[in-house]
Amino acid sequence: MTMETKRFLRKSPSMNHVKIIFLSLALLQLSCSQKSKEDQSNFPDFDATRDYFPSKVEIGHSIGFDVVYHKNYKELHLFRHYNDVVDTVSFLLVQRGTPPPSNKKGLSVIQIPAKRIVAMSTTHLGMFEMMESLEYVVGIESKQYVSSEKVKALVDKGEILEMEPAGALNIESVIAAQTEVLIGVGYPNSQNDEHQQLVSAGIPVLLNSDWQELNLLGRAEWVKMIAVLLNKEEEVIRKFNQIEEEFNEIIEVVAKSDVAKPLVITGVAMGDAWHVSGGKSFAFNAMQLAKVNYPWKGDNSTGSLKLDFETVYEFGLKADFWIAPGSARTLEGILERDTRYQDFLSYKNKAIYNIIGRDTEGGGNDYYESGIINPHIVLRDIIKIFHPALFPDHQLVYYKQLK
Amino acid sequence: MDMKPNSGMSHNGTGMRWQPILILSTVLIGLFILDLLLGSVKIPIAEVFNTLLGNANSNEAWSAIILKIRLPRAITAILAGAALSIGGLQMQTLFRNPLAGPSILGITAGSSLGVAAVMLVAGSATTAFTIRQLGLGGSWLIIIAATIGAALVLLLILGISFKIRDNVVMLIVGIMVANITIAIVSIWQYFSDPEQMQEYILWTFGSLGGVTNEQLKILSLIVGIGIVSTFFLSKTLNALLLGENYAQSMGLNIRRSRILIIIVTSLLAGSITGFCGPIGFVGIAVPHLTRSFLNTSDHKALIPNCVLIGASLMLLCDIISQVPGSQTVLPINAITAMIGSPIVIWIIVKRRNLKASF
Repeated sequence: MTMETKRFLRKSPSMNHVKIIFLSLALLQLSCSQKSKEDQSNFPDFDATRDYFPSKVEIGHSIGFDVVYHKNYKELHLFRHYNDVVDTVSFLLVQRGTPPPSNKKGLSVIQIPAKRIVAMSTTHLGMFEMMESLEYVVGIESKQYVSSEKVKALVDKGEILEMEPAGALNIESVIAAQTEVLIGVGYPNSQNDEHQQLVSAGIPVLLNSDWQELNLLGRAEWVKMIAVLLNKEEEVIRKFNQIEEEFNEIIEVVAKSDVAKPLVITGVAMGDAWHVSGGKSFAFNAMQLAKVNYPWKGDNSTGSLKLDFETVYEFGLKADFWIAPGSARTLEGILERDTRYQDFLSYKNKAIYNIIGRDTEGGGNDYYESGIINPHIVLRDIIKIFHPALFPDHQLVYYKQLK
Repeated sequence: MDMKPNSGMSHNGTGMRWQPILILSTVLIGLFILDLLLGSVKIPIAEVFNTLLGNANSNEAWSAIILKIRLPRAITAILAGAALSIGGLQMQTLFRNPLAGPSILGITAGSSLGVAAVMLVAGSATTAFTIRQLGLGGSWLIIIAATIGAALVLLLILGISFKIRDNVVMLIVGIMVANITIAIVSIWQYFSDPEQMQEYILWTFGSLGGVTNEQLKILSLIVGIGIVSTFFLSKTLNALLLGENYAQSMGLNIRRSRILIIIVTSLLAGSITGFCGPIGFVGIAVPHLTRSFLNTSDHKALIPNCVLIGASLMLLCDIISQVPGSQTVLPINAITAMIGSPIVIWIIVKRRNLKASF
């Protein structure tokens, strides 16, 4: 463009408009032609007939997700169960260097193997460590709650960033870290603004609802979702099968024995209400495998069941065991909450256990980190509490007797 | 108006009418017994009376439930209802404002600040360790924190009241102080873990069942002192109703009276908030209910009746919150507001001349 024309354009607003329209049309043309050629020329190595994922995971225990395999991409479906409504969110996990399917427009695409992942819950970290894939984690919520020494060291070295150091997700840090996918925690009815912002910035958010699972194996199986993102199916199948096998062997031991079922209560009073584990919760599911007598086994709630103080107190007086009494760490701490607890048989017999075997000064708890992928150890702990004779050599790992 | 500002403090004075007190006492006793009878665990009526009379109960669990759960809760309800109603009455008279209540000076908000400091801020490891070193823990810690919080706000309000004579200004200052404390609490909440937040939110729902027998002794003592002091202030309160200038002309030291009233109310509201959480609405509703029931503004009559009506209303709320026959429980704070608000509406609609009482 000569100086003359420039001056002319600047002087004439109508001419400016023409220029903009022309330029936009040219760009549109360019992008259209690029799109049509994409499938052929942009993926020179793409072989449409090849099965890119020879080993495939099957989901046997989890109710929260499923994977469907295609030649060069996987469909990941996340289910969120709210009361009776199941909400499904689907993602396309497309092999790097291959084109996304043209018939599934509108779904978020994640290039796999994913190499820059932000994992917002410690439950995910245990899974990454199990898959020996911590190098793909670029960000976590905050170091404070982490138990893993490896992860802490990586944070100190600056290889893993803290994305939520002060209570709120720092979206700019997540974007600046060139995050390819963020794995968050899904809660009922969470219309998380931060997640919406990330999605509009092009970062897919996978909401993991492992806490909604009905049993320990279902919770552990979420490691397969991580493996699917990393194309590590073969390893995860081998490792998970091993855990599953060991878990079933432990169940066998209890099933074969004819131990008496002790009476158990759970939770602790908060205000006037006492939340006990629901009859369909995974916490009770694990105790049920260990053969116990539970006053609310007929209940249908998957989370906790809200009862009033005197209802639970009546059972508490004669219960043999008391599991997970809130944040209490010692017998003294139990009485600090409420002196009426000293009437409980479990208090008199010191048969109160809490999940504090591996918790940290900073308020973290390895039960929610490595405990997720060690369901067999958690189960062995639980059985050891109720029936110590069945596993005489086992030392409690995640649980601890209050003293 | 049945006003006898110069009559003495004798209970046989002309300001006292025995009939309503007898009726209200009967209602109170009835509700008290009903509260002990009803609960989620079904206990035969005969067994409840057996236990209360000190006889051995055939079922140990039942006697423990009655003596350790239902009895302390019912007594707590009586104390809370009485204390908050009396506190509300004093605030409404002091500020000559029908919307005033024990929480109006920011005392409840101050307690919340103290509790939030313990529950939310103490979450960090170092603070929790320091607290453990002090040998404090659990429910006592919450109570002490609530008391300190209320006392700090009270000191601030007292300091301001030395400077400012205008009650309307005091009222606004109190509301603003409450707003500041709420703002601080919400910032703490924002930076807290969900579990800590849950604990704090549960506290704000209010609870009558968390007070054990040992704690009840201390709570009874404080509330007792508060109620007796209010009785001694009834002459002052009557004089204040006639306006500050008139009261002053009667030889009343307005500044001293005001400070005394604020201290007594803080003691009552602060201790109840500490032990039971911020229980709303009883403090506003009951004084209106009492005035309407007695049709008088004489505090010598209002104070004892306020105690009885407040205690009865709280017992009724407790019975409802237990949802008799179910195994669940509703937050007491929601019940008091649900019952309190219609009462206030009913009275305001019925007594169009509300302003005449102030």
